[in-house]
Amino acid sequence: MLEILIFIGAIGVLIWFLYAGIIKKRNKANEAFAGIDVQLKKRHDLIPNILQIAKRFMAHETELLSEITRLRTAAQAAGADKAGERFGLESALQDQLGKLMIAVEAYPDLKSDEAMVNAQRTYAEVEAHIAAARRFYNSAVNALNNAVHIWPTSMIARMIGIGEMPLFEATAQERSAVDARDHL
Amino acid sequence: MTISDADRARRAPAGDADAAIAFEEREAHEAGFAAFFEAHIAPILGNVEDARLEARKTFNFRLFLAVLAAIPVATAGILFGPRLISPDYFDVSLGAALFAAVGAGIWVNRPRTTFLIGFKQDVLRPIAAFFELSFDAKGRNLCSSFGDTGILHDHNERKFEDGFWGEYRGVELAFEEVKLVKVTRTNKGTRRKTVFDGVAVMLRMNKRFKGHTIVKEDLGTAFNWIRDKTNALETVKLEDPRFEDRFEVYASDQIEARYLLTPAFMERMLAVADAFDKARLRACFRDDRLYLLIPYGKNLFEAASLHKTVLETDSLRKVLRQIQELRGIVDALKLNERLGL
Repeated sequence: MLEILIFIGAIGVLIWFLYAGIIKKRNKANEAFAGIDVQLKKRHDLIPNILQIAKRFMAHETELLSEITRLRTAAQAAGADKAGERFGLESALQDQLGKLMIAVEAYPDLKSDEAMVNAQRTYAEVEAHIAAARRFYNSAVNALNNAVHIWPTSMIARMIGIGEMPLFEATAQERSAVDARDHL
Repeated sequence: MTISDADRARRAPAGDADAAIAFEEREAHEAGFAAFFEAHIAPILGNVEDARLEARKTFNFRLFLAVLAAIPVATAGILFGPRLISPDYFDVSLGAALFAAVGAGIWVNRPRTTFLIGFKQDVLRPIAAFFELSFDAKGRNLCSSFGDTGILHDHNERKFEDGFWGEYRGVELAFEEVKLVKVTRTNKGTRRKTVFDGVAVMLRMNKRFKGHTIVKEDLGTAFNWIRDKTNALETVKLEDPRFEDRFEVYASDQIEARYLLTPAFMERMLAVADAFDKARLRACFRDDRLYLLIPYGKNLFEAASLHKTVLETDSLRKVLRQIQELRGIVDALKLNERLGL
């Protein structure tokens, strides 16, 4: 009888550890999501300033500027429950902002404008923070998703309704190989 | 930094020894040193060589006297000690003999240490000036600023010497040779263990951090787990497997840790560790500073010996390389660039 009780107790402790582990992983992923949210908000706050400066010089780039505005609005509207959709919009927004920064090179007056220089520096800083937040998020989500997919934690995850979370993938622009000629 | 007039005055005309030697530039970091050597170091080497010969003479004389005194004292002690000294006073007598031996050792060695410190002040200081750095042979206890970094090894005795400080490519830096010793006293006696022997480096970065990030050597799965559990900071798992194999990262802010330790920066840190014989270095980012502890395993900045002439350049070349290696951390980590660590 005692052996049975010890066995049941041991199983209970094991289940509790597995349960606690998966809850910790989900909380860590949520914390990472909150971190990325803060950094993305910094980007959203910076965009109107960049667009305002750029509009004064880039009369021929209205399509690009409009697309950035549209993506920013759409990304802000996407709630936390639609993380995958939101990450897609943010990636597209980052692509367009990257194009804008490259386009600035073709406008010498804009390129040398002090406000634009400061905005570009801040943009680079914000993007570096977003990249760091994304690495933390992806690392936390990867640990959670492994737990959700691998037995026995997968069983517990299913029982308490924890599912996988989407990764925040690098943009196509980031993934593509750097061509030194673009920078020469 | 330039050499002061007082220094120039001290380095008056060459002494008796022949100081007509020249420095041959062989590596990139030695560019311009030949002319500097001719103007600032060669003129004083004669005096330094005279000082070395004088110090060696005194050292040898004292050593001779010490040995001369030690032989009859030791012989008498062995032959008559057990009969003349009561067993009650044996410990006291042994202690007194050891005390006398240590005192004699210090007395004999004094000319050597005085010469070496003088050499460092007279020769290494201008070499530091060549690299636009200041120098103090006694060091400045740089580790005292490492207090809350969390990377200092547990120790209760600290020795430091050869402190360099200044600016390189707009980055403020300081480094010095440090030895940390853990002394434990048990009823069996005192045990001394050197827990760190190398260089402490402090670099001021172009950014201020709100969190605390430290990089420590990897101890293997079991010891890492114990350290994780006893650490107030969170463990940060990074993507670079080579970096993860060799280091463990702890931080108060996961995002900031990754902002600092970008994949490129991790590569650069590995390159720095490789440059110092795959050193198990420790690093801490705090406020606007990067603190580094690099185990070296060799005595650094020792360009002179009592028993070897100073009228040669190979030892100086070695010191030049060591300074350049440490200054090169700024280049390796690209700390001079304002954006993108």
